[in-house]
Amino acid sequence: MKRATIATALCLWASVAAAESAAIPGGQWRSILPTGTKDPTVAVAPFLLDRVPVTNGEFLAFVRANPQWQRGNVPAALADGMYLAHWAAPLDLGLNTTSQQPVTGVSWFAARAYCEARGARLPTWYEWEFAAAASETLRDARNDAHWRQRILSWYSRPSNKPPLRVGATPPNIYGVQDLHGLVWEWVEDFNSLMIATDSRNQGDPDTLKFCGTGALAFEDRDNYAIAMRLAMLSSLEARSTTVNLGFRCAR
Amino acid sequence: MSRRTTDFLFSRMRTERHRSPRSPLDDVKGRTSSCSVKLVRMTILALTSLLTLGSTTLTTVLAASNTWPTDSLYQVDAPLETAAGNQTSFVSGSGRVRIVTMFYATCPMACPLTIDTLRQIDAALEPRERSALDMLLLSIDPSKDTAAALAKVAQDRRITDPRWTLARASEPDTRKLAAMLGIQYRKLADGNFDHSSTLILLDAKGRVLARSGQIGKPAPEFVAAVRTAVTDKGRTGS
Repeated sequence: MKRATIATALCLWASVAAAESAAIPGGQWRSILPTGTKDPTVAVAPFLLDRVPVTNGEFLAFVRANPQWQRGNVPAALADGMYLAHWAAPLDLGLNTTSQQPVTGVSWFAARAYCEARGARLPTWYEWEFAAAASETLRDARNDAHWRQRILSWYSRPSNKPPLRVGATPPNIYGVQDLHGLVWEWVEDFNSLMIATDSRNQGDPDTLKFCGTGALAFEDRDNYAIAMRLAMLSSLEARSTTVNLGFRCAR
Repeated sequence: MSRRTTDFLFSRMRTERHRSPRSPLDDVKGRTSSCSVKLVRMTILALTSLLTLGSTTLTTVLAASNTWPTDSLYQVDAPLETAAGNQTSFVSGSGRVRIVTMFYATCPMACPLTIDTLRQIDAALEPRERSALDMLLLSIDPSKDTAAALAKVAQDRRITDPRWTLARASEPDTRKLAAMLGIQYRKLADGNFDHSSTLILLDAKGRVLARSGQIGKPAPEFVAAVRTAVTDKGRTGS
């Protein structure tokens, strides 16, 4: 009986997990992060990116099929005490959480495990940033003040409200949605962000994270929206979860 | 395999046995055979039960056998290749106190300093304390830091003590171990790295006892923590 349930869960999860992804062409990319070399750009190879963040429904199917990731089974080393806290029960979203909302309250380890199980991975910071620089009509809309303002207006929305469902924001030129205006998103190399250019500055690494030398290293100080994301991601540990932090997968 | 199937298989076996011509030995064989049939039946039932258990129960079994404390870094494992070319794993170094850090072979300044800092920690200990302490240095540049490259670092830095291990993991596992250890690193376009130099002291069960971002001269509190850890009490990892 139990075996049938697991098998069904696996099939269900496999079908919903065949998420739609968009092909991002890649190219030379001028990141907000300093490259540390004379070249102000880095090469981003073409990749696939999920069109929308992973949803509660998809993550529920994943933990059904992978019980070690159910709330209550995950060791403290892999997720903090608020892991999936907004769900009514380990296998029940409850009435206040819908299956179409982006899943939040997941640690980097959990997000990674989900993507791995789908034969995918988390996007790198450069990949995420590359895709997120696009508007509906421009590949790189970062100099468009209107576009930047729209994004900034989202940051003034109170974060104590639950997120809206995925797929409600307009797709960018690549067909990817919700890179802005929904949730923070994990990246594969979150622990590579906001550090000093060398380790000659001694002291607690936490103090090097942002403000001071970190902030001054920004290439584009006007792009506050992206700076916020960098600051947020760089303050996290791999086991951290927040109520507004979700993810999507890449390949 | 369901109980019905095993029953069917055994009924066939019994039928086969009864078909064979009886010999004087059969009485003896009969008695021992029925015992061994029962034993075999129980074994097969046990084995098939184990195989037919859903992944839930199997995972529960695995989870139950996971004796690591909930905050132990050994909840995460990764295959490692050492400078000697041996295949090992992150968790296989458990059971002993160790300092873990990350570096890369072509690191110009911070990594030689890190190695020197570890050496100073070794030197600050009594021989008996030192013998209970391992050092694990993981490369953040695994694609370039082959076993041979790591061996060259060991040679250049005169690292000969078998308690010291230089090793590399796969690229994704390196990212995972760094995340686990709270070490930051970023590969730059020219192949150099921005990285933190952090020493992490783990007890025998993989719990973090102390961390230090100070290199050049080891932080006294960190050395004190190491010393406590390698005394008899600390070594049991209780």
